[in-house]
Amino acid sequence: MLKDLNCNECQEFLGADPDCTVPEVVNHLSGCDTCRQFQMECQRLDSLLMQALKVDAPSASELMDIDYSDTVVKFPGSDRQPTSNRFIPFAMAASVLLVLAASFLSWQGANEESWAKDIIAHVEHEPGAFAFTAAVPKTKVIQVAQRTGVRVQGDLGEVTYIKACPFRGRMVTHLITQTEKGPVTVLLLPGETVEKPEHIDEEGYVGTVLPFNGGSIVVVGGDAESAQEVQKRMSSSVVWDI
Amino acid sequence: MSDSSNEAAKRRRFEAVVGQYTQDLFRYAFWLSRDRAHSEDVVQESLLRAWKAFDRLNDEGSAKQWLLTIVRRENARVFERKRLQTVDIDNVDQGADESLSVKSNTDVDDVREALMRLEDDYREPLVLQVLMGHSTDEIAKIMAIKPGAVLTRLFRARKKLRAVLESDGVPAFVQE
Repeated sequence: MLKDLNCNECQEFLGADPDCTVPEVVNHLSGCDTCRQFQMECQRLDSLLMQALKVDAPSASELMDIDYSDTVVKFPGSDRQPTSNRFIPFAMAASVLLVLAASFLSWQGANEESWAKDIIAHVEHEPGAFAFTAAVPKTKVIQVAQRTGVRVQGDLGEVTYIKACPFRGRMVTHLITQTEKGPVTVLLLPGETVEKPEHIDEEGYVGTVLPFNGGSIVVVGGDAESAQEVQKRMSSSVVWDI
Repeated sequence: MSDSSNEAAKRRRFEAVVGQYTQDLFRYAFWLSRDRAHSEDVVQESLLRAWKAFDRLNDEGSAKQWLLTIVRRENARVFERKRLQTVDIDNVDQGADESLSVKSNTDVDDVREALMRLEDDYREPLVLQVLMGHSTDEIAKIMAIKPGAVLTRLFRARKKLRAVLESDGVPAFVQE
């Protein structure tokens, strides 16, 4: 035996789901023009809602363009957890220091190697980036950079590709800028510090990591002259905004 | 099988399972934040999290719900991290946002604007039901609320939308 619904109850069901198939609702609708009219209005609203909600989205391949090699390993100096505990016995601290001293150089070497590998893996992961030749509008360059904590306040030159990419757990600006000798890849990394310029030579790619105001600028590709020109252009045109 | 071929197989499976949902994930993130750039960040970070946790997805049939939950959490996390400013609807220039200006007609524009004005608590279940096709129980799980609360919010959401559209004089909703 179905419970009899009044119009208010029926319309509450339909307002929550215009295609409701609850037997009591179906039963009420069979004998009520007012609620059938209400249902049609809700269905018309839903049809418009569906169109309104379906905003344009980037392509699936663009959205899936993530750094699968991304690891939780942090860049030296960044987000390091404090380790000091003033109650640790001195003897223990001394032995830890000895171990640290013994392993410091190999640790540093391994970390730098991993850093360089991550950069090249990222560049290799977006090979399609070099296919673009048209200049990206400056407004888009500014917007993308801004999303990654980079304020553009000068001329970056002709940028033919720019994207905010996940890199080592952060969103960073990855761009390609044109030089007289061809395209050069740039990663702008606020908050990722290096103490001195680092050279990258991995998998046939050559580049440099330049310390810059507590962050770093990575330039990959081009010859020494064009890389230097791009580094100069970037360092005079961006400030970190984080 | 070597580590690298295992990894490649895992990546192909991930792309097959997850790839079909990415655009809907973007739309869900967009309607949570109403900010296109923020939504792109949220989806990419969510996919990265999903990739890292992919081995823990036992039932691929529940992938969509699993992904929506990740996006929902990531949206809150990114929102908090960036301290994203609340979107002031009066300052939203719909014409300037390509995501809002294409493939639209007057009625759809009006509905979209009304949706932008709707409170988050009402807009989200509507997106999950109308756009994603989720049942009341599924929405309840994603939003971590009771099914009864989902039904109430859906009813009120449509009621509010109809009232806004009527008061704005949208032809399709003006009572004769």
